[in-house]
Amino acid sequence: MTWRLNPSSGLHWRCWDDEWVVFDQGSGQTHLMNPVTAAALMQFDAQCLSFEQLLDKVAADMSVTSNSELASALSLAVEQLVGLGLLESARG
Amino acid sequence: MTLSELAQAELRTRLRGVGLKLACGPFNYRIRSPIGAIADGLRLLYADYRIPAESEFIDFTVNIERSGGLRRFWRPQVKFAYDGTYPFVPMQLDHAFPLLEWAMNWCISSQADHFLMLHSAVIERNGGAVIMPAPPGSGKSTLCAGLVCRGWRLLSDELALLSFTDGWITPLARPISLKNESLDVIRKFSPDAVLNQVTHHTTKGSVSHMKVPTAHLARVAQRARPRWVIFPKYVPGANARLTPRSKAQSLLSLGGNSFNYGVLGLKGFEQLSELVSQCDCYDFEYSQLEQAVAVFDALAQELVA
Amino acid sequence: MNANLIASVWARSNPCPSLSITDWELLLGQARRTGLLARLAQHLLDRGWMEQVPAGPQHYLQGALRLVERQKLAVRWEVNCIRRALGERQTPVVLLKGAAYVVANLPPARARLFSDIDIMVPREQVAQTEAALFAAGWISAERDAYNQRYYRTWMHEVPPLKHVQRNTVLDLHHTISPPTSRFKVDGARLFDQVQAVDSEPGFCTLGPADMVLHSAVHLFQEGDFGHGLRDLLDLDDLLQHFSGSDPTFWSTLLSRARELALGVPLAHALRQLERLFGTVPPLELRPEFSAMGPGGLARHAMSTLIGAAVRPQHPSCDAPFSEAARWLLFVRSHYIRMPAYLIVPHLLRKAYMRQFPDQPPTAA
Repeated sequence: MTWRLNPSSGLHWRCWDDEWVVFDQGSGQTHLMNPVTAAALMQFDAQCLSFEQLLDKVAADMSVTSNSELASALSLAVEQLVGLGLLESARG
Repeated sequence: MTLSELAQAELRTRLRGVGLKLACGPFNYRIRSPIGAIADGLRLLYADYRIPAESEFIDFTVNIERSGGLRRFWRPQVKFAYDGTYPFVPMQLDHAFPLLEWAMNWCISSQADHFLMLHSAVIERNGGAVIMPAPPGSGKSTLCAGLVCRGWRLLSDELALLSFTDGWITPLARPISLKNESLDVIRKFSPDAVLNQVTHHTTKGSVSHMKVPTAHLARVAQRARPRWVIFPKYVPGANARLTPRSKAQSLLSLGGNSFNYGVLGLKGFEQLSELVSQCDCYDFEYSQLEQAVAVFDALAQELVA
Repeated sequence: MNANLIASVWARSNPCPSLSITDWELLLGQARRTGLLARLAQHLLDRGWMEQVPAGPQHYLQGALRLVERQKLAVRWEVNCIRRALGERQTPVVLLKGAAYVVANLPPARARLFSDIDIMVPREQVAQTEAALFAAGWISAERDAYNQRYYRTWMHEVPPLKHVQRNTVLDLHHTISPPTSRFKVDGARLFDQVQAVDSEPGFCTLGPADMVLHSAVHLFQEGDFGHGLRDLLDLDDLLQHFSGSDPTFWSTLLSRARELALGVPLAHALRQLERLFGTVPPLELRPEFSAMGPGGLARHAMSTLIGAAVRPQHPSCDAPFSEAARWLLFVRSHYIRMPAYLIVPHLLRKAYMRQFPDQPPTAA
């Protein structure tokens, strides 16, 4: 299973003191995100990613080794992002 | 020319006929109504407001009419007519003046998209403005009125108008609406405050409006730069206290308290981001107005130092 | 003052309006009332006249345009959400009215605000589509059992669906006109002519002639004549656009109107367009278009009624006759939609519910 950004999204980020806010032009919605969800979403540009690829990238971004806590937090984050319509599953 | 220069008879004639024109900050109104309480309220609270010249564009024409038919005599009602429609349900006749104020607010908040409009009070001292967003019941209006009575300049008690070019705030300076307990609090706090007669049993309880000091109206064309975003909350028995608030959370709260953030898209987001970046954001608890004023004054002092 | 300033804006030969400041106030008021503020702004922008508009009115004109732009984004997002809800399907989903204008980039989208998204699926797929939408968060906005029955049994709609989080409204159709109406249309025939939308895979719009006919039928069947002028302008836009890119369009429209037995609403609409904007079919087809409408007295009476009803409901140009005309047309509109023996109980019921929204009526 791989995911990608919803093609109609257009993300604009701001950060203050480790809190991330993103505005999505496609849906017109503004989201306040915790660091894991923000980190997850930021990995997607033009590419599709599998969960393992995503986990590795986020771990690298956060300068931690990937572990089961990060994995489950990330799993929740992906679910949330799909529910918000920001991520969608891609073929393949 | 100001409203106070109109003879009483002339005021009533205009209200019943062609309409009374009134400038409120960046907006010009034309008000029409045959109702006596409207004329009285305007005479008291809007004495120092400018009457626009013939050549000036009138942004909003507000009609406060009596309901016809049975309701003309039995439990008489008034309604707000705008461009041939009735945006609100009719109200009792004695709610006419508050209805006028709510109608005037509605005109701006539903149409003035050339500003980013926040549902908040805005006051200014020493060149810095405080934006106070707050849902109803937070004590924002009492606090706003109290501060205005102690030397803070009123920009607005309900509607912050942010410019898209530089983020500065344009004053509206319309009378401050007060309700229920705040009426007594303000009367005690500032016996000189001029208040319109109280209307009881509205959906918000007992309401009245406080006149804006003349000196503030003289500066209605002076915009102000926002320096603080403060979320007030009246907490019985609490000491006045500022606690820093996350800028990210503040952005979301401001967006949720905005009249047109949702329709402005990216432009609105960029404007609010700029605002929270530039301003110190706080939560504020208080119960005593004197204490609250002292805390705010100390903030304003920082600008002079 | 009875100046119908707003209608005169679109008279064909109109030069740049040079209006006094009071006239601008009136014009904006009339435009707001008829839902034409954005279109007025677009009209001025297209002709390079916006700079000459005084600063005051310009704020509100520009504001209306911003709203339209914002709406286009919102529509595309809703369509996106609908696609995710419905998944892969054998037959495409047809977008109607405003949503269609936006995704197909048709002229009415440039300056029109609308509140609902309308989609059409084959009749046999309505239940399954409604189920899929429900699973994705669209629930019926209609709580009253009578109104539910009104919609499902008599009208062509599932009652409007509202999304639980976004509060957006979706109308699900299987044809463009109610089955009980004099002008009923079998949805299957419409599907023969649908056209794919490049930017939205899985979605289609009606064929051009059908889009025009839908607009004409909608104008006379829906109860809302406050926005008649706006709907006529949209219709005019569509006609200009389609006939501009296809010289055979008018004769296609003529045969399709006959095929679907929608000649009468089309004839009425064309009569208004001629009266207001000077839009006419090509010379050689005019007799045939004329022949489609009712003859003589009926035609004149209907035309006068509609003309009066289409006058903007603004105090500055409401002739006393207009309100009565509007009411007559509303009753007639319901008459067209439902046979007379059904209409009276329905109207009273709706009036009752408006008066006492929290009290269900006790008797049947």
